[in-house]
Amino acid sequence: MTPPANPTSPRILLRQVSKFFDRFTALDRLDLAFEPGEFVVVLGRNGAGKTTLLRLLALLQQPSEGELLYDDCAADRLDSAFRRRLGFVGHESFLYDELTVEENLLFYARLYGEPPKRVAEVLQEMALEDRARSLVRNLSRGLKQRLALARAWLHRPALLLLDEPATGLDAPTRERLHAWLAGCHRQGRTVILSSHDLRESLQPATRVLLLEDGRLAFDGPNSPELPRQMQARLQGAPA
Amino acid sequence: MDTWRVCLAVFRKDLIAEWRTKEVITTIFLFGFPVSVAFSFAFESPLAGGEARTFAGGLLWLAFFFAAILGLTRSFARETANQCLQGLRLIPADRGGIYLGKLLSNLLFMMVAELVLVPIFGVFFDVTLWARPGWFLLILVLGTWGVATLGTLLSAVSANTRMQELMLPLLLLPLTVPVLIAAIECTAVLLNNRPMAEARHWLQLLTGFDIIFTLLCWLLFDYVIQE
Repeated sequence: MTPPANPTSPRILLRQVSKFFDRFTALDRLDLAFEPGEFVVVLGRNGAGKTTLLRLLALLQQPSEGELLYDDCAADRLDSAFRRRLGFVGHESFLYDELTVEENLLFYARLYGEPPKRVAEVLQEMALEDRARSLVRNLSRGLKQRLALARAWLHRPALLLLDEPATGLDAPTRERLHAWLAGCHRQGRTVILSSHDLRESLQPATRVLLLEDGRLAFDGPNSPELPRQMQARLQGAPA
Repeated sequence: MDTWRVCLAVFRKDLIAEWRTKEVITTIFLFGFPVSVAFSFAFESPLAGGEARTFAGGLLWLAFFFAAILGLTRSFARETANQCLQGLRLIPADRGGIYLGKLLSNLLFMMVAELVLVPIFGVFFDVTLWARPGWFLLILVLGTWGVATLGTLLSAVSANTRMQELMLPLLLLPLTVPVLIAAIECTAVLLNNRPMAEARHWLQLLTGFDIIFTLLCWLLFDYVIQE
């Protein structure tokens, strides 16, 4: 199944965006812009703010301070139809354990107004056809993660937001995921993902961000030397 | 159009999940049955003078109400596992449809459990609840709808709190007092074979409450499930 070309990725702008949870500052005055069609990897240690940033971009949270704009429209003024352009995979699967793989996808397909035949296509694309009748509660972590990706991909979003999507996947499936993401990127979709795995996640990226304590510590294009530099930054040594 | 599509999708999903687990209906029934039995022994005692008919309506609705709270608590627990509610917040449609779907499924599950409990209650209290089945069914639907409409919204509210099981009854009981009083009064008129015209104002109250609170909860739901 080939996704349609020319998806309309939004331009995203963050102006002095901060996010607080009680007294904890998850994001601290971030200024960022994401152009349509970028492939961005967000790096950072645990608690650096990667998940918060992705949840803000997915409209699941609102900034405590600052502005988040999509195509120059404030995030809190976007209509519900805009969410069709977003696909989000978080730490949790958003799947119902007591439903089968196929029933979960059919449920989300109905919510997104997708025809039932789209479920069969996605099952095939994610190599889940043989598990279609399995209850989600009986799936392994890796299969659940693939199903979560299938759920986010049902409506072919123009902007893919993935929070550590390779978690729980074995090496061949991880490779397949990165090849698939690279394909999405080639078709003009924006891909923003967070990762701990420097070597693999950086391969298809065009741009790399590093967050440290909620602040932007690095923002630059991908390069062959970058994994080594980033490794040093993530381990706390000077670059 | 979007709203109904979402509503039916959520309703269908809840039916499948309930068919597999039977947790909501079983919870309501397993609480409602012993409570009905306990009430019957307490009020059929010599002290009660065998006047069960007088307060059977009140006891019936109390049993339904407390059993419903347990079932309603489970309703949104399903949506908080694996953070499914977050997934629902991402949909490109009116989120009020999620509320309507949950309301429909809660109403159906509560009605099924009540329809099983009613004959048992009738036997233990020696009252004929089906003498005027149309009226009885109307009271049952309106009363259950009233509890379900607020219960569904408050179940979503309490699902995000630490003391979910405690929060729901604390919020729901004071707000549904008008529904309980009206349903009890209507049932008393029915059980005492009085003309239903005497219950007209209570039925109007129930209907008005149900319509107003369904609209209000539908409108508030998007706000309730925000971050």
